[in-house]
Amino acid sequence: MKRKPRSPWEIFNIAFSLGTSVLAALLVGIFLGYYLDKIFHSSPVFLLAGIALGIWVGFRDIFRILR
Amino acid sequence: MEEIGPKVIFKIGDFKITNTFISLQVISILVLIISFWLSYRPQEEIVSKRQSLVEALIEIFQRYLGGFLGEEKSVKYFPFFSSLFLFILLSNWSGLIPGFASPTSDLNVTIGLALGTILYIQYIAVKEKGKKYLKNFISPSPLFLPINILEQITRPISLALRLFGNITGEHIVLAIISLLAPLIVPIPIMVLSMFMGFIQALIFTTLSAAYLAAVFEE
Repeated sequence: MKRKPRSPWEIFNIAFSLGTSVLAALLVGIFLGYYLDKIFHSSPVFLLAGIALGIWVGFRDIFRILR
Repeated sequence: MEEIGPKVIFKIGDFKITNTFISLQVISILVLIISFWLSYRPQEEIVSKRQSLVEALIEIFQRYLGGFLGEEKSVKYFPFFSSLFLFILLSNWSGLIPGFASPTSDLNVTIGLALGTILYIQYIAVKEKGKKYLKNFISPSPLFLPINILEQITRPISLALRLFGNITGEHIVLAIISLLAPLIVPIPIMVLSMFMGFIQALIFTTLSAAYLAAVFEE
């Protein structure tokens, strides 16, 4: 499906929101990993996995909004 | 220097009444009053200036939403997004009135707004797509389930943090500049703050509409 070209306002808004999308995903990943590590005494396995997952989710979210 | 953030004014039992809570109530009433003032019986002919203004504004906003949701859906969900926009816009701007605290500079308010919006979108998704929507969580493969769930958790957090961070940041900058140079200098910053308040309200609404659009596209 061909989309209509985006208006400058839309592009401006999306550009403004990209940073926090990655940040929020990263924060959720880090907190989740940190607490799982605390529970299972497996530092830093879950923390690293959480960071990787957070980055992935953040960029995937951006990609979905831009699509 | 005054402390930044919500201040407890008085307590009712264990329930703390903060200045942001009071301004939140005032703005809610204001949004209701403005909505009543703007509402009118639809007529074919434009008979008053108010009607022509309201119709122009509604059309601009509807066209903007239509860019994400398509024409039919943008008309259907227009009331939700327009009230969300109006509420956030007035909340952001209210911080510029002396003695008034912007409700969106309180993290509790922004988290509440973001959670409410995302839950409403989930509700629409389940209502409109039924069981098909739940299949999205395991697409393209069941291995993606944790990522899809994490994405859903991330959305309200990013919406809440963005609005809170930007509005609080503006207030801090304005407070510091007013402290250093109280005359004239803060005025351009205030204008910028109004512009940013508008942009933040638009971003919140735009992203909510984009999340809803993603539900329909999947």
